[in-house]
Amino acid sequence: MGGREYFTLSSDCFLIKGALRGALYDLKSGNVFSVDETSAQILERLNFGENLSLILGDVDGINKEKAIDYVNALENQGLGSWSAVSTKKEIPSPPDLNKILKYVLHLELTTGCNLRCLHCYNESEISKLHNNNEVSLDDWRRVITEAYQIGCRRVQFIGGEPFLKWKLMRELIPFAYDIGYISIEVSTNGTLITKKDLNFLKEYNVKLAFSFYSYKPQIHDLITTKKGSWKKTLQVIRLVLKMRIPLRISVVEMRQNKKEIGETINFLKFLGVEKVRSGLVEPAGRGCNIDLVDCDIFAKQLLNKPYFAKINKNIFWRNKAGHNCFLEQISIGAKGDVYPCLEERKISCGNIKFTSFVDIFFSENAKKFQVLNKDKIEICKDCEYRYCCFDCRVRAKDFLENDYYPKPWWCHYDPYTGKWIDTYRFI
Amino acid sequence: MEENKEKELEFIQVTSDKVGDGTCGPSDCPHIDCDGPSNSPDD
Repeated sequence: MGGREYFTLSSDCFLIKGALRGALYDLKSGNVFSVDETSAQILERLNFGENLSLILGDVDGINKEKAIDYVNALENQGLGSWSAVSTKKEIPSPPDLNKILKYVLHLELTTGCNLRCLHCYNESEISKLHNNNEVSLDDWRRVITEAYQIGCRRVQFIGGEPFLKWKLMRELIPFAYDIGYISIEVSTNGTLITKKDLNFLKEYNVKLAFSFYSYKPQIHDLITTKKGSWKKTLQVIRLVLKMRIPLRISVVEMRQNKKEIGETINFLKFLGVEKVRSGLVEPAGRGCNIDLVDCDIFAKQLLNKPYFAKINKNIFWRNKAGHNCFLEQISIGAKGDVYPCLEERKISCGNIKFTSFVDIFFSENAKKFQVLNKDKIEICKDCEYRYCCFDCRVRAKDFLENDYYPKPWWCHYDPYTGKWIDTYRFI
Repeated sequence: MEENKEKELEFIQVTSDKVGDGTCGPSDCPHIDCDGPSNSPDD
Protein backbone atom coordinates (compact mmCIF):
# COMPACT_ATOMS: atom_id res chain seq x y z
CA MET A 1 0.00 0.00 0.00
CA GLY A 2 2.98 2.32 -0.57
CA GLY A 3 1.79 5.95 -0.59
CA ARG A 4 -1.70 4.72 0.00
CA GLU A 5 -1.77 4.75 3.80
CA TYR A 6 -3.49 8.00 4.61
CA PHE A 7 -6.33 9.80 2.89
CA THR A 8 -8.03 13.04 3.78
CA LEU A 9 -10.98 14.74 2.20
CA SER A 10 -10.24 17.99 0.42
CA SER A 11 -10.96 21.33 2.08
CA ASP A 12 -14.13 21.64 -0.04
CA CYS A 13 -15.46 18.20 0.81
CA PHE A 14 -17.37 17.39 3.98
CA LEU A 15 -18.57 14.11 5.41
CA ILE A 16 -21.98 14.56 7.04
CA LYS A 17 -23.03 11.56 9.04
CA GLY A 18 -26.60 10.45 9.47
CA ALA A 19 -27.97 7.95 11.94
CA LEU A 20 -26.76 5.14 9.68
CA ARG A 21 -25.30 6.24 6.38
CA GLY A 22 -23.28 9.30 5.46
CA ALA A 23 -23.06 11.85 2.67
CA LEU A 24 -20.08 13.53 1.09
CA TYR A 25 -20.75 17.15 0.21
CA ASP A 26 -18.42 18.35 -2.52
CA LEU A 27 -18.79 22.11 -2.43
CA LYS A 28 -16.49 22.52 -5.42
CA SER A 29 -18.67 20.61 -7.89
CA GLY A 30 -21.90 21.08 -5.91
CA ASN A 31 -22.49 17.35 -5.84
CA VAL A 32 -23.53 15.24 -2.87
CA PHE A 33 -22.68 11.54 -2.68
CA SER A 34 -24.39 8.99 -0.51
CA VAL A 35 -22.05 6.57 1.25
CA ASP A 36 -22.94 3.45 3.22
CA GLU A 37 -22.45 3.03 6.95
CA THR A 38 -19.08 1.26 6.72
CA SER A 39 -17.67 3.76 4.24
CA ALA A 40 -18.78 6.61 6.45
CA GLN A 41 -16.98 5.06 9.42
CA ILE A 42 -13.80 4.49 7.40
CA LEU A 43 -13.84 8.01 5.96
CA GLU A 44 -14.42 9.53 9.35
CA ARG A 45 -11.40 7.75 10.78
CA LEU A 46 -9.27 8.59 7.74
CA ASN A 47 -10.19 12.22 8.26
CA PHE A 48 -8.83 11.96 11.78
CA GLY A 49 -5.49 10.98 10.28
CA GLU A 50 -5.72 7.24 10.96
CA ASN A 51 -3.90 4.69 8.82
CA LEU A 52 -6.11 2.84 6.31
CA SER A 53 -4.51 -0.55 7.02
CA LEU A 54 -5.20 -0.20 10.73
CA ILE A 55 -8.78 0.92 10.09
CA LEU A 56 -9.43 -2.02 7.79
CA GLY A 57 -8.06 -4.32 10.47
CA ASP A 58 -10.93 -3.24 12.67
CA VAL A 59 -13.66 -3.62 10.05
CA ASP A 60 -15.04 -7.02 9.18
CA GLY A 61 -16.04 -8.08 5.71
CA ILE A 62 -14.03 -5.54 3.74
CA ASN A 63 -11.82 -6.64 0.90
CA LYS A 64 -8.73 -4.44 1.20
CA GLU A 65 -8.16 -4.14 -2.52
CA LYS A 66 -11.73 -3.04 -3.00
CA ALA A 67 -11.31 -0.53 -0.19
CA ILE A 68 -8.30 0.97 -1.91
CA ASP A 69 -10.17 1.05 -5.23
CA TYR A 70 -13.00 2.80 -3.42
CA VAL A 71 -10.73 5.48 -1.99
CA ASN A 72 -9.04 5.82 -5.39
CA ALA A 73 -12.46 6.55 -6.86
CA LEU A 74 -12.95 9.32 -4.33
CA GLU A 75 -9.57 10.74 -5.27
CA ASN A 76 -10.45 10.59 -8.97
CA GLN A 77 -13.57 12.61 -8.19
CA GLY A 78 -11.33 15.25 -6.58
CA LEU A 79 -12.85 14.63 -3.16
CA GLY A 80 -9.56 14.05 -1.38
CA SER A 81 -6.03 12.82 -1.74
CA TRP A 82 -3.70 10.09 -0.55
CA SER A 83 -0.76 10.99 1.59
CA ALA A 84 2.28 9.15 2.88
CA VAL A 85 1.96 10.88 6.24
CA SER A 86 -0.88 11.21 8.69
CA THR A 87 -2.89 14.39 8.14
CA LYS A 88 -5.90 15.26 10.19
CA LYS A 89 -8.41 17.25 8.18
CA GLU A 90 -8.85 20.69 9.59
CA ILE A 91 -12.44 21.83 9.77
CA PRO A 92 -12.61 25.30 8.23
CA SER A 93 -14.32 28.06 10.14
CA PRO A 94 -17.74 29.05 8.79
CA PRO A 95 -17.65 32.15 6.61
CA ASP A 96 -19.02 35.48 7.79
CA LEU A 97 -22.74 35.05 7.15
CA ASN A 98 -23.18 38.76 6.51
CA LYS A 99 -20.96 38.35 3.46
CA ILE A 100 -22.81 35.41 1.94
CA LEU A 101 -26.45 35.94 2.85
CA LYS A 102 -28.68 37.94 0.56
CA TYR A 103 -31.23 39.45 2.84
CA VAL A 104 -34.57 40.16 1.20
CA LEU A 105 -37.13 42.45 2.76
CA HIS A 106 -40.72 41.78 1.71
CA LEU A 107 -43.03 44.74 2.33
CA GLU A 108 -46.73 44.08 2.04
CA LEU A 109 -48.26 47.45 1.20
CA THR A 110 -51.85 46.28 1.38
CA THR A 111 -53.94 43.15 1.73
CA GLY A 112 -56.42 44.63 -0.72
CA CYS A 113 -56.49 43.20 -4.21
CA ASN A 114 -58.63 43.81 -7.28
CA LEU A 115 -58.57 40.06 -7.96
CA ARG A 116 -59.55 37.25 -5.64
CA CYS A 117 -57.37 34.32 -6.62
CA LEU A 118 -58.53 30.90 -5.47
CA HIS A 119 -55.22 30.05 -3.80
CA CYS A 120 -54.14 33.43 -2.35
CA TYR A 121 -51.96 32.76 0.73
CA ASN A 122 -52.93 36.20 2.04
CA GLU A 123 -56.67 35.85 1.43
CA SER A 124 -56.54 39.19 -0.37
CA GLU A 125 -59.61 40.80 -1.88
CA ILE A 126 -60.84 44.28 -2.66
CA SER A 127 -62.77 44.65 0.60
CA LYS A 128 -59.43 44.66 2.46
CA LEU A 129 -58.14 47.71 0.61
CA HIS A 130 -59.11 50.34 3.13
CA ASN A 131 -57.58 49.58 6.48
CA ASN A 132 -56.89 52.24 9.07
CA ASN A 133 -54.24 50.13 10.77
CA GLU A 134 -51.91 50.04 7.79
CA VAL A 135 -48.29 51.11 8.13
CA SER A 136 -47.69 54.80 7.39
CA LEU A 137 -45.31 56.16 4.77
CA ASP A 138 -42.94 57.37 7.51
CA ASP A 139 -42.85 53.95 9.14
CA TRP A 140 -42.13 52.20 5.82
CA ARG A 141 -39.29 54.67 5.22
CA ARG A 142 -37.90 53.95 8.66
CA VAL A 143 -38.00 50.20 8.06
CA ILE A 144 -36.31 50.49 4.67
CA THR A 145 -33.57 52.61 6.24
CA GLU A 146 -33.08 50.32 9.24
CA ALA A 147 -32.99 47.19 7.09
CA TYR A 148 -30.33 48.73 4.86
CA GLN A 149 -28.26 49.60 7.92
CA ILE A 150 -28.12 45.93 8.95
CA GLY A 151 -27.11 44.73 5.49
CA CYS A 152 -30.32 44.24 3.52
CA ARG A 153 -29.90 45.19 -0.13
CA ARG A 154 -33.02 43.69 -1.67
CA VAL A 155 -36.57 44.80 -1.23
CA GLN A 156 -39.78 43.46 -2.69
CA PHE A 157 -43.10 45.33 -2.60
CA ILE A 158 -46.03 43.00 -2.51
CA GLY A 159 -49.70 42.86 -1.54
CA GLY A 160 -52.50 42.21 -2.04
CA GLU A 161 -51.99 44.14 -5.18
CA PRO A 162 -49.31 46.79 -4.52
CA PHE A 163 -50.43 48.92 -7.50
CA LEU A 164 -53.58 49.70 -5.52
CA LYS A 165 -51.10 51.64 -3.34
CA TRP A 166 -49.34 53.29 -6.26
CA LYS A 167 -49.09 56.66 -4.53
CA LEU A 168 -47.27 55.03 -1.61
CA MET A 169 -45.06 52.98 -3.90
CA ARG A 170 -44.12 56.08 -5.90
CA GLU A 171 -42.63 57.44 -2.68
CA LEU A 172 -40.96 54.25 -1.47
CA ILE A 173 -39.30 53.09 -4.69
CA PRO A 174 -37.15 56.24 -5.17
CA PHE A 175 -36.48 56.21 -1.43
CA ALA A 176 -35.11 52.64 -1.50
CA TYR A 177 -33.22 53.34 -4.73
CA ASP A 178 -31.54 56.46 -3.31
CA ILE A 179 -30.52 54.65 -0.13
CA GLY A 180 -28.70 52.07 -2.24
CA TYR A 181 -30.83 48.95 -2.55
CA ILE A 182 -29.45 46.90 -5.46
CA SER A 183 -32.65 44.98 -6.12
CA ILE A 184 -36.14 46.45 -6.00
CA GLU A 185 -38.92 44.14 -7.11
CA VAL A 186 -42.69 44.53 -7.25
CA SER A 187 -44.83 41.40 -7.11
CA THR A 188 -48.07 42.13 -8.93
CA ASN A 189 -50.94 40.66 -10.89
CA GLY A 190 -50.17 43.27 -13.55
CA THR A 191 -53.74 44.24 -14.30
CA LEU A 192 -53.51 47.84 -13.00
CA ILE A 193 -50.16 48.85 -14.51
CA THR A 194 -50.04 51.60 -17.14
CA LYS A 195 -47.26 52.53 -19.56
CA LYS A 196 -46.62 55.65 -17.50
CA ASP A 197 -46.13 53.47 -14.41
CA LEU A 198 -43.66 51.29 -16.31
CA ASN A 199 -41.64 54.34 -17.36
CA PHE A 200 -41.39 55.25 -13.70
CA LEU A 201 -40.32 51.73 -12.70
CA LYS A 202 -37.70 51.59 -15.43
CA GLU A 203 -36.18 54.82 -14.17
CA TYR A 204 -35.44 53.11 -10.85
CA ASN A 205 -34.36 49.71 -12.24
CA VAL A 206 -37.38 48.04 -10.69
CA LYS A 207 -37.98 44.37 -11.50
CA LEU A 208 -41.41 42.82 -11.78
CA ALA A 209 -42.71 39.45 -10.59
CA PHE A 210 -46.01 38.21 -12.01
CA SER A 211 -48.24 35.24 -11.43
CA PHE A 212 -49.79 33.71 -14.53
CA TYR A 213 -51.93 30.64 -14.48
CA SER A 214 -52.72 29.44 -17.97
CA TYR A 215 -52.33 30.16 -21.63
CA LYS A 216 -56.08 29.61 -21.77
CA PRO A 217 -57.93 32.83 -20.82
CA GLN A 218 -60.85 31.00 -19.25
CA ILE A 219 -58.60 28.97 -16.92
CA HIS A 220 -56.56 32.00 -15.83
CA ASP A 221 -59.73 33.98 -15.18
CA LEU A 222 -61.24 31.04 -13.33
CA ILE A 223 -58.31 31.12 -10.88
CA THR A 224 -58.23 34.92 -10.49
CA THR A 225 -62.06 34.93 -10.36
CA LYS A 226 -62.04 38.05 -12.53
CA LYS A 227 -63.15 37.90 -16.13
CA GLY A 228 -60.78 39.79 -18.40
CA SER A 229 -57.78 39.55 -16.03
CA TRP A 230 -55.89 37.26 -18.45
CA LYS A 231 -56.18 39.83 -21.23
CA LYS A 232 -55.03 42.72 -19.04
CA THR A 233 -52.11 40.82 -17.51
CA LEU A 234 -50.96 39.62 -20.90
CA GLN A 235 -51.07 43.14 -22.35
CA VAL A 236 -48.81 44.35 -19.55
CA ILE A 237 -46.45 41.38 -19.90
CA ARG A 238 -46.01 42.26 -23.58
CA LEU A 239 -45.36 45.89 -22.70
CA VAL A 240 -42.88 44.98 -19.97
CA LEU A 241 -40.98 42.78 -22.41
CA LYS A 242 -40.98 45.51 -25.04
CA MET A 243 -39.57 47.99 -22.53
CA ARG A 244 -36.97 45.43 -21.40
CA ILE A 245 -37.95 45.65 -17.77
CA PRO A 246 -36.64 42.59 -15.87
CA LEU A 247 -39.48 40.17 -15.37
CA ARG A 248 -40.03 36.80 -13.78
CA ILE A 249 -43.23 34.84 -13.83
CA SER A 250 -44.44 32.07 -11.54
CA VAL A 251 -47.02 29.62 -12.76
CA VAL A 252 -48.69 28.29 -9.63
CA GLU A 253 -49.97 24.80 -10.22
CA MET A 254 -53.27 23.63 -8.82
CA ARG A 255 -55.98 21.22 -9.86
CA GLN A 256 -57.62 23.84 -12.09
CA ASN A 257 -54.58 24.39 -14.36
CA LYS A 258 -52.44 21.28 -13.85
CA LYS A 259 -53.12 19.91 -17.32
CA GLU A 260 -51.56 22.85 -19.13
CA ILE A 261 -48.60 23.88 -16.96
CA GLY A 262 -46.07 22.86 -19.60
CA GLU A 263 -47.94 24.60 -22.41
CA THR A 264 -48.31 27.73 -20.29
CA ILE A 265 -44.58 27.86 -19.58
CA ASN A 266 -43.86 27.37 -23.30
CA PHE A 267 -46.39 30.08 -24.15
CA LEU A 268 -44.64 32.56 -21.85
CA LYS A 269 -41.21 31.60 -23.15
CA PHE A 270 -42.45 32.03 -26.70
CA LEU A 271 -43.53 35.56 -25.77
CA GLY A 272 -39.97 36.22 -24.61
CA VAL A 273 -40.18 35.73 -20.85
CA GLU A 274 -36.87 34.18 -19.84
CA LYS A 275 -37.50 33.57 -16.15
CA VAL A 276 -40.52 31.33 -15.80
CA ARG A 277 -40.96 28.82 -13.01
CA SER A 278 -43.78 26.62 -11.92
CA GLY A 279 -44.54 25.91 -8.30
CA LEU A 280 -47.19 24.05 -6.42
CA VAL A 281 -49.92 25.84 -4.53
CA GLU A 282 -48.83 26.60 -0.95
CA PRO A 283 -51.01 25.55 2.00
CA ALA A 284 -51.57 29.02 3.43
CA GLY A 285 -54.66 31.24 3.44
CA ARG A 286 -57.08 30.22 0.69
CA GLY A 287 -54.35 27.85 -0.53
CA CYS A 288 -55.40 25.49 2.28
CA ASN A 289 -58.57 24.69 0.34
CA ILE A 290 -58.35 20.98 -0.38
CA ASP A 291 -60.28 21.48 -3.65
CA LEU A 292 -57.15 23.06 -5.13
CA VAL A 293 -55.12 19.88 -4.94
CA ASP A 294 -55.50 16.26 -5.90
CA CYS A 295 -53.44 13.08 -5.84
CA ASP A 296 -51.32 14.14 -8.84
CA ILE A 297 -50.31 17.37 -7.12
CA PHE A 298 -49.55 15.65 -3.83
CA ALA A 299 -47.53 13.03 -5.68
CA LYS A 300 -45.39 15.71 -7.33
CA GLN A 301 -44.29 16.90 -3.92
CA LEU A 302 -43.12 13.51 -2.74
CA LEU A 303 -39.44 12.94 -2.30
CA ASN A 304 -39.09 9.18 -2.52
CA LYS A 305 -35.66 8.78 -4.02
CA PRO A 306 -32.31 10.47 -3.45
CA TYR A 307 -32.59 13.32 -5.91
CA PHE A 308 -31.32 16.70 -4.76
CA ALA A 309 -30.44 19.89 -6.55
CA LYS A 310 -26.78 20.82 -6.61
CA ILE A 311 -25.57 23.00 -3.80
CA ASN A 312 -22.79 25.53 -3.41
CA LYS A 313 -20.66 26.84 -0.55
CA ASN A 314 -23.12 29.55 0.37
CA ILE A 315 -26.06 27.17 0.51
CA PHE A 316 -24.12 24.63 2.58
CA TRP A 317 -22.95 27.15 5.17
CA ARG A 318 -26.31 28.87 5.24
CA ASN A 319 -28.14 25.60 5.84
CA LYS A 320 -25.71 24.72 8.61
CA ALA A 321 -26.27 28.11 10.23
CA GLY A 322 -30.04 28.34 9.99
CA HIS A 323 -33.19 28.07 7.94
CA ASN A 324 -32.89 28.26 4.15
CA CYS A 325 -35.57 30.96 3.96
CA PHE A 326 -35.93 32.57 7.38
CA LEU A 327 -32.23 33.35 7.56
CA GLU A 328 -32.32 35.45 4.40
CA GLN A 329 -35.74 36.97 4.21
CA ILE A 330 -38.18 38.70 6.45
CA SER A 331 -41.64 40.02 5.73
CA ILE A 332 -43.65 42.89 7.07
CA GLY A 333 -47.41 42.76 6.77
CA ALA A 334 -49.64 45.69 5.93
CA LYS A 335 -50.44 46.22 9.60
CA GLY A 336 -46.76 46.22 10.61
CA ASP A 337 -46.37 42.66 11.87
CA VAL A 338 -43.02 41.09 11.13
CA TYR A 339 -43.21 37.50 9.87
CA PRO A 340 -40.44 34.98 9.20
CA CYS A 341 -41.81 34.54 5.68
CA LEU A 342 -44.61 35.95 3.55
CA GLU A 343 -46.79 32.89 3.84
CA GLU A 344 -46.31 32.35 7.54
CA ARG A 345 -49.05 34.65 8.78
CA LYS A 346 -49.76 33.13 12.16
CA ILE A 347 -46.50 33.97 13.88
CA SER A 348 -45.54 37.62 14.36
CA CYS A 349 -42.07 38.41 15.69
CA GLY A 350 -43.15 41.95 16.60
CA ASN A 351 -44.75 45.05 15.10
CA ILE A 352 -42.72 47.83 13.51
CA LYS A 353 -45.28 50.43 14.57
CA PHE A 354 -44.27 49.85 18.19
CA THR A 355 -40.71 48.51 17.99
CA SER A 356 -37.78 49.34 15.75
CA PHE A 357 -37.24 46.91 12.89
CA VAL A 358 -33.65 46.30 14.01
CA ASP A 359 -34.77 45.34 17.51
CA ILE A 360 -37.29 42.89 16.07
CA PHE A 361 -34.79 41.45 13.58
CA PHE A 362 -32.30 40.69 16.37
CA SER A 363 -34.93 39.62 18.90
CA GLU A 364 -35.17 36.12 20.32
CA ASN A 365 -38.58 35.84 18.63
CA ALA A 366 -37.04 36.31 15.19
CA LYS A 367 -33.87 34.41 15.98
CA LYS A 368 -35.70 31.18 16.79
CA PHE A 369 -36.90 31.07 13.18
CA GLN A 370 -33.63 32.26 11.67
CA VAL A 371 -31.66 29.42 13.27
CA LEU A 372 -34.31 26.79 12.59
CA ASN A 373 -32.28 24.46 10.39
CA LYS A 374 -32.76 20.72 10.01
CA ASP A 375 -30.57 20.09 13.06
CA LYS A 376 -33.60 21.20 15.05
CA ILE A 377 -36.21 19.12 13.24
CA GLU A 378 -36.99 15.69 14.65
CA ILE A 379 -35.75 12.83 12.43
CA CYS A 380 -34.21 15.33 9.94
CA LYS A 381 -31.53 16.06 12.52
CA ASP A 382 -30.35 12.45 12.06
CA CYS A 383 -30.36 12.61 8.25
CA GLU A 384 -27.15 12.93 6.26
CA TYR A 385 -28.96 15.04 3.63
CA ARG A 386 -29.98 17.71 6.14
CA TYR A 387 -27.79 20.45 4.62
CA CYS A 388 -28.76 19.90 0.97
CA CYS A 389 -32.48 19.26 1.42
CA PHE A 390 -34.72 22.29 0.99
CA ASP A 391 -37.12 23.08 3.79
CA CYS A 392 -40.44 24.93 3.77
CA ARG A 393 -42.01 25.16 7.21
CA VAL A 394 -45.29 26.46 5.76
CA ARG A 395 -45.67 23.24 3.83
CA ALA A 396 -44.18 20.99 6.48
CA LYS A 397 -45.96 22.14 9.58
CA ASP A 398 -48.71 19.99 10.92
CA PHE A 399 -51.78 22.20 11.06
CA LEU A 400 -53.84 19.61 12.89
CA GLU A 401 -51.30 19.08 15.65
CA ASN A 402 -50.16 22.71 15.55
CA ASP A 403 -46.63 21.37 15.39
CA TYR A 404 -44.13 23.68 13.73
CA TYR A 405 -41.24 21.24 13.80
CA PRO A 406 -42.25 18.00 12.10
CA LYS A 407 -40.21 16.23 9.47
CA PRO A 408 -41.66 17.27 6.08
CA TRP A 409 -44.49 14.89 5.22
CA TRP A 410 -43.34 14.60 1.61
CA CYS A 411 -39.94 13.14 2.52
CA HIS A 412 -39.96 9.37 2.55
CA TYR A 413 -36.42 8.69 3.58
CA ASP A 414 -35.75 6.92 6.85
CA PRO A 415 -32.27 7.88 8.08
CA TYR A 416 -32.38 5.12 10.69
CA THR A 417 -32.62 2.35 8.10
CA GLY A 418 -31.07 4.25 5.19
CA LYS A 419 -34.03 3.26 3.02
CA TRP A 420 -36.43 5.17 0.80
CA ILE A 421 -40.05 4.14 0.89
CA ASP A 422 -41.82 3.82 -2.44
CA THR A 423 -44.82 5.93 -1.60
CA TYR A 424 -46.28 5.77 -5.11
CA ARG A 425 -47.58 2.31 -4.36
CA PHE A 426 -49.92 3.88 -1.79
CA ILE A 427 -51.36 6.42 -4.21
CA MET B 1 -21.58 -17.59 7.57
CA GLU B 2 -23.52 -14.37 7.25
CA GLU B 3 -20.94 -12.35 9.17
CA ASN B 4 -18.18 -13.29 6.69
CA LYS B 5 -20.11 -11.88 3.77
CA GLU B 6 -18.07 -9.27 1.94
CA LYS B 7 -19.43 -5.76 2.28
CA GLU B 8 -19.83 -3.46 -0.67
CA LEU B 9 -18.66 0.11 -0.22
CA GLU B 10 -21.20 2.44 -1.79
CA PHE B 11 -20.60 5.84 -3.29
CA ILE B 12 -23.65 7.16 -5.12
CA GLN B 13 -24.22 10.63 -6.54
CA VAL B 14 -27.57 11.96 -5.34
CA THR B 15 -27.52 15.41 -6.94
CA SER B 16 -28.67 16.45 -10.38
CA ASP B 17 -27.87 19.37 -12.65
CA LYS B 18 -31.51 19.51 -13.52
CA VAL B 19 -33.64 21.43 -11.06
CA GLY B 20 -37.30 20.55 -10.76
CA ASP B 21 -39.02 17.37 -11.84
CA GLY B 22 -38.96 15.94 -8.36
CA THR B 23 -35.61 17.29 -7.20
CA CYS B 24 -35.57 18.54 -3.66
CA GLY B 25 -34.79 22.26 -3.58
CA PRO B 26 -34.15 24.98 -4.25
CA SER B 27 -37.49 26.46 -3.50
CA ASP B 28 -40.29 26.72 -6.03
CA CYS B 29 -41.82 29.38 -3.79
CA PRO B 30 -43.13 32.13 -6.07
CA HIS B 31 -41.91 34.85 -3.71
CA ILE B 32 -38.25 33.96 -4.01
CA ASP B 33 -36.32 34.85 -7.08
CA CYS B 34 -34.54 32.20 -9.09
CA ASP B 35 -32.71 29.49 -7.18
CA GLY B 36 -33.15 31.12 -3.82
CA PRO B 37 -31.41 34.25 -2.63
CA SER B 38 -28.03 32.70 -1.91
CA ASN B 39 -27.92 31.22 -5.33
CA SER B 40 -29.51 33.97 -7.34
CA PRO B 41 -27.50 35.63 -10.06
CA ASP B 42 -28.88 39.13 -9.56
CA ASP B 43 -25.58 40.57 -8.35
